[in-house]
Amino acid sequence: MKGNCKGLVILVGWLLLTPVAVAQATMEENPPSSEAEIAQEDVMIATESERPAPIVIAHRGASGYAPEHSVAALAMAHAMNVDFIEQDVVLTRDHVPVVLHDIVLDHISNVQKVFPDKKRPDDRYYVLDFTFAELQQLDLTERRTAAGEQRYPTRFPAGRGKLKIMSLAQQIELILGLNQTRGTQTGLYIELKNVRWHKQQGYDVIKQTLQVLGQYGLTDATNLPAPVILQCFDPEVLRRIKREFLLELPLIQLIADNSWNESDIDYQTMLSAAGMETLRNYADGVGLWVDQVYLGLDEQGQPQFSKVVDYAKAAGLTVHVYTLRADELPAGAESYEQLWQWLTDIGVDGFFTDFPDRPAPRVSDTFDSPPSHDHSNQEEDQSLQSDNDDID
Amino acid sequence: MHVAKRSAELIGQTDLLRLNSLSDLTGCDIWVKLESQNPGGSIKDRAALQMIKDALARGELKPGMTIVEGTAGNTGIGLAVVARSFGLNMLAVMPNDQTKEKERMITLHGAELVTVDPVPFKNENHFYHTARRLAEQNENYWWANQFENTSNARAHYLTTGPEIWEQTQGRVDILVSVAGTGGTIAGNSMFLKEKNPDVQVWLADPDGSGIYHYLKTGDYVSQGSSFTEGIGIMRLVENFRLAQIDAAVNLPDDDLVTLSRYLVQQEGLVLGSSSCLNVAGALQAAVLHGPGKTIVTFACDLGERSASKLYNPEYLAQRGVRTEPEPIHSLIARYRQQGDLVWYRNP
Repeated sequence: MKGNCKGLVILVGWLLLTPVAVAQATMEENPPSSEAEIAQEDVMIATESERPAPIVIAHRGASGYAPEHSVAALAMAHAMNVDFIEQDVVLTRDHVPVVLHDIVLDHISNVQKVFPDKKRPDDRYYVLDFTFAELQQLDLTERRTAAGEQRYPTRFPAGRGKLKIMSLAQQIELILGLNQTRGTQTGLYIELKNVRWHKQQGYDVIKQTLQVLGQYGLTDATNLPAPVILQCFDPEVLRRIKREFLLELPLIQLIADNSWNESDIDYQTMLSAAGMETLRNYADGVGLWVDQVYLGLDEQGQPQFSKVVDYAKAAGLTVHVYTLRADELPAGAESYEQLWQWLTDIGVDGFFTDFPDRPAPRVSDTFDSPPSHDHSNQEEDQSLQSDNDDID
Repeated sequence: MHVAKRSAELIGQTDLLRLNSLSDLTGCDIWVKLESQNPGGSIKDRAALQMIKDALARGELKPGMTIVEGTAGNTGIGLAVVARSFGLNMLAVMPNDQTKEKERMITLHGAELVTVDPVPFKNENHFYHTARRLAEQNENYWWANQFENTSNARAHYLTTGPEIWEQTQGRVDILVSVAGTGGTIAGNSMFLKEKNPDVQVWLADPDGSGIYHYLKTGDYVSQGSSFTEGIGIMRLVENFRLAQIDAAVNLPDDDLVTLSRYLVQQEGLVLGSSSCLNVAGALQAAVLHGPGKTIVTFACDLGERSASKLYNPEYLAQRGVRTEPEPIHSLIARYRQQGDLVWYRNP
């Protein structure tokens, strides 16, 4: 975000509508004397003003209700009046950006039945080995674990629905169309997946994705048909988008847990106050894993939080948290709504959620809480396709 | 690890190395069988040993006699190694345009070396005819004749093929090989197809060779030329006749430069020019038939034997071959597009 006033207003209005962002923007016109001053002022403003409600980002669409990234999950999310719908982008053999979370098809499609021979020596089916036309022969299914069991047992039944893999262009067209018919400004929240891995294979996720966005006028921050946010785990990708492609779209640095092997980056360092200051050079906000923020209950039964949201706020960063799931709450949280409220209270600006029809209730509201699942039940093979369910 | 009483016993039982970089790029398992580990530094040691063993068994060859062979080099080196083990002498006839590295290896092994000018096969002074004539003129000489002597293919039927089958645990889908005499591709294809008729056998043919054209049309016609040595041929010979080939591709020297540099950089592997052609063929097969295929090819000899040509920028420039490698992704993109250039036995 810089000089261009119109762009700023639009951006701020659409997304970074926290007072922090406004403060930041204002100050860029009248530079303060030191970084510390910015931080101090930001914190002050953030705590003094009344903050708007957190934004709702439909995580892979309304994925709690329909298979992730399917047309059904997208349309439902739109009808639930979310602020953003998330698209994860990987590339096909013919360089088409498609909306899928993993670089392999194993856990979310019936690929094993349709193309039994097209697996690599590691027994996985890579999106990159299929053309877009071939992918259309597959049906999307509710996510399975490596053991073949449905990841979230109470969600959409396997083998139903004949839902197809969608290209990024198809999702964009659908969102823009629904925005028009429903009179909304629902945005796209796009994650560039495994960019380095694609690069090693001779595929450029950034270039292909931005090319599609450009075709729909979604790269000119001064005149966007709908809000767009770009997110990535790899800081180099965000830096390239900013400095090489010169885009002024809001950029969110996703912060992983080092154990997921998302990249060579030390995410633990990123979570420090100094790390957040550094991010500010290229990112507008951070995407934090809920476990990086909420630490569980103390002996008195009080929720404990890390300092990371404070650090991010002090650095002038917007904070979005992934992923809220009504059917898989972290230990100690009695309900989805309670968790939402806790995180909202400590300053979180937005949530990736599988259940986007469940926004924060008023504090006094109480709902029947869904059964709480053991949060330690995480998925395998994170290193290869960021398959951890907590990674967004 | 083997313990041997003579170097000939160390021939064979070579290792299989996965080319991780190209495997990852294609989603296949691409393996090279390191024939450079043979005592004479090349796959030709196997043929040399089998030809000598069979000739001794038939009584054609007796200790004290001299083996004569026309060779591009590696068979001469192999025969020299084995000859010593069996108390035989060796006389190699080579065209004088082969790398000096190979000439040196032959004389270092105590063999006698005669070099002749490189001439077309129909010329009586061709190294092949020269070797034959020398053998005919001296009854103490035995002509190995690697082209027509099918002990050559038998070596691979008896040793290389079974090793590949065992090392891949029967999973080999595609075998890729260059051909000179055709012994390697014949013996391996015979064995592997006996084990599994679905194994695909691919021939990689350099510019200047007529095999690709022969398979396609029945005539030996060639275009251009290649710096590869001892592979490609313009006539049908007995060993090649035994080969069961399913697909063939003709690839230019430019691609060998690209792949040789890539493998040095990615795998720390210095391959000779025929080995690079093998890898290029394996890459072509992987790109068209992957993912998931187990592909085996050969590092035919030591890369340093190609130092003065493949790895010599002045030589490459003088031949009009590229000196800088093409980016690997560009090569792969090209290979994806050139499927129609591949000859298939059953299209």
